[in-house]
Amino acid sequence: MNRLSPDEENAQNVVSGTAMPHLRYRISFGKDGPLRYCSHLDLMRVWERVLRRAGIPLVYSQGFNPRPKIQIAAGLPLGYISTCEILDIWMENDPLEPGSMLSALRLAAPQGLTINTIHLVALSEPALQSLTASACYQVTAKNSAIEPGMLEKRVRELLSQEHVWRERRGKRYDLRSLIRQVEIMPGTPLMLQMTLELSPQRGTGRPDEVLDALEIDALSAVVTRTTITFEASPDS
Amino acid sequence: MHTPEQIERALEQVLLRVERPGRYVGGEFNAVSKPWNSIQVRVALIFPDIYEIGMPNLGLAIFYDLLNRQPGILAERVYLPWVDMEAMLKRDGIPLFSLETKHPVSDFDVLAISIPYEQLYTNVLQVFDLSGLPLRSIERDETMPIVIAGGHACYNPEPLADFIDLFVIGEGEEAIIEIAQVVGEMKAANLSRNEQLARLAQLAGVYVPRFYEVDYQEDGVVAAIKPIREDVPFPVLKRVVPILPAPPTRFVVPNIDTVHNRAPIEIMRGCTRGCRFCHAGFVARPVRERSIDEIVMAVEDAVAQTGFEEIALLSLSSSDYTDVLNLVRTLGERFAGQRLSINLPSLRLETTSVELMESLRNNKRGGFTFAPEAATERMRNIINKSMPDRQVLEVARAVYSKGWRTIKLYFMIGHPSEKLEDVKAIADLSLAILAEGRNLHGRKATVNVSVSTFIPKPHTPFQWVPMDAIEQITAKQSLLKRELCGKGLRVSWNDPDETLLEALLSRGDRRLGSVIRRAWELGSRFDAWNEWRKHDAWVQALSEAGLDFHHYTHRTRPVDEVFPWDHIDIAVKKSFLAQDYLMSRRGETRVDCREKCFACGILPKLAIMRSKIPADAWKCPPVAPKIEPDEVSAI
Repeated sequence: MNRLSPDEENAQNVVSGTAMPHLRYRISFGKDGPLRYCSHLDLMRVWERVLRRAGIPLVYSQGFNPRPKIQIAAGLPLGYISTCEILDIWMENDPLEPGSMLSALRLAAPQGLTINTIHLVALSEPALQSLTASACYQVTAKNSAIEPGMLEKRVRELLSQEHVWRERRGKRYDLRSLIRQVEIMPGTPLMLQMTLELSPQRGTGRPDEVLDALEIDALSAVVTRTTITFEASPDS
Repeated sequence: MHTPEQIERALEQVLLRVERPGRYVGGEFNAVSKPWNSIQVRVALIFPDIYEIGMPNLGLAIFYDLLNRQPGILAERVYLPWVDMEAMLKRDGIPLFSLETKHPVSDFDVLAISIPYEQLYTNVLQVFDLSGLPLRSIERDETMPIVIAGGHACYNPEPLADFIDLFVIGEGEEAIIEIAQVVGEMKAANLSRNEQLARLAQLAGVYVPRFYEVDYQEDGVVAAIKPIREDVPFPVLKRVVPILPAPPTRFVVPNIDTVHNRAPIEIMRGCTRGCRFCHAGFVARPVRERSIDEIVMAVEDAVAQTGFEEIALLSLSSSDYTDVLNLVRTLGERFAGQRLSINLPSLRLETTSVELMESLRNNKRGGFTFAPEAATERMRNIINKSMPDRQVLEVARAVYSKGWRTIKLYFMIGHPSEKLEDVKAIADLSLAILAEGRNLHGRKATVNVSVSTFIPKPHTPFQWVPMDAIEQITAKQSLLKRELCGKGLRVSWNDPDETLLEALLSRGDRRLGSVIRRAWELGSRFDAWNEWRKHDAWVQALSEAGLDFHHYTHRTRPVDEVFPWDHIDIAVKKSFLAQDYLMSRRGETRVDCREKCFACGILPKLAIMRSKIPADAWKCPPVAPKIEPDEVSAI
């Protein structure tokens, strides 16, 4: 087979629609309102449609069933609110300035999807999911009858243990090793702030598991993810 | 009384305790929330099944778009809660509510219920119950919403006659606006419910069951149906739009997965093929096509407005769209490289179909679907869906050779003149098609065979035919299951109990009202869901009413029997259907009526309407001299 010159190869790629990705953007967004009840998998589909409405041409995978190339840093459980989710998208070319992309995305977003920022990142950067280290959550326990003093005691007890063994989906794990910090915030209704591991190596802590360990009804609590921290944040 | 704020607060307490709470929150892209207090007429558009089933329904999407364009009208969506949510609503005393503004259903002026198929009947009662409304039309007074219903099942409105205030027979695009306007005008008039309905009964296509009465013979057959007021139409002629209005494109985009995740664009309404089992083929006449320009613009607009990854070009028979090749070529070129999947379902089993699908440039993951319905020439002649046998394998070869690996086939069993050898032929044909696939793709080739069971639907030439005996259906299904097992084959079929229930409900008369109510009291709902259908409840409800399945489903009818739906005029003459039925008994076929007019009746019935539009708008050829065979002249 004859080898093609880079120019010819490029031209062929363009014709056959298999051009290499040119640009990778990182979008920070919030999820609230009706989207609070949308699962992680459904959210990916919501994003694909937002991007299509905004006229942003995504790179697609090859093969029998091509998928658009988008990555979300960390799946947010259904029912949680977030102000700080992170999405990477790969674009075929550059038809829009980040500023106009931002306004196009805002126009195309459904109720509950807030676009915070968008910026270019290096194509060579590792996958988003491999970059995260921890996340902060704010919890409002609306119907909790628990006394603040009692809660303080339970938090102290939880944090003083070396291991807190629990079972989730038939798997035994140590919840304590996934908790970095739990704090009670002043005021009513009852508010907690917690920092949990969000790491491909060390594991992911779930706020509902912490609430359960503290004997707070997780289903009537409102949980908001407020920060995702990267292991060695290359952008900040 | 519940305010939207109270409902919102109550919902927040239960949403995380039910499956897929995204069904109940609304707020989707393109959803329309109008200011409740400054709007005169408020319409709840209700699909009586869960969100995932109801959202993709094109009928309601059309009405949502049309009504919300009217300045004095608002339309909001309502779906049924799944059983877990139903328990929560009942536990906490939350009434059924609309997704847009969370108003209780009982706060609306009009409830417009879409009823495309009969298995939704018990769900309709469920809607009333969860809304705190009395079930029966005569128990609801003028302080309550007016309940209207439409959709293909309503061409026989009688089984729901007790529960619905008025039916729109036929196409609703114009009628629903007129109804909303009249409801608005009557708001200040202080009329009784009877007076309100009498006024609405003046609108074309509107059928108010309480203004008609039915007499029965001793054997349970209908003796006569008569209007009891002079000012109501008899028979009630279906409503038709002469030219299709512009299609909706700003579809509500769901945030959760639904049964069809796509923007549907209707390219053509009606069908001229005349397949004798097909309800839609007779009730949806005449044919009306949209222009290629209008379709391309609609697709462009729908993609821009919704971001859907898939577009479905809907019609009863895509291959019959006049310039279908030009349409798909234009679309294929226009959207090349945009990662848009454009679906063209309902293609005929012919090699041109492969060319059509190639032009759309989709990926080939979805497979290729055909509906041969029958596998022997004898049966194809009986049902009037002819095609040469050798053509089938040729087409299969072409499909596989162009890169598709899956062929889906729709067959129908259970016509009473079908023999086991006709069913065996279905298995043989499916295996022969798989063998073609194996030649090209080895073990990656698959054939999916979907086998439905014949139901003698009202308003079709087969309305006189009995349903097949249950033992026969079971024997035929067993044969297929036995013959069609192994790698690369997948067979699906309908539970015979489900078919029996659908036959009962689609052929029912007014006496079924008490049966539906009783079955619902015994726990029946979601009858379209195999795991929820309670066959025993229906058997018990029928027997308590002194009725049985057989009368409705398994009798051969004399050609002059009065049917419970005879006062509903679909514009096709009963004598034409009878003539076609007798032809089927002789194995005689009719060609596509675009080629030759068989005088089905739509042209004289809709003559005034047709005189105002271009002569070729409905694709009807010039009318041949009328010849009525002697045997049906009595009807």
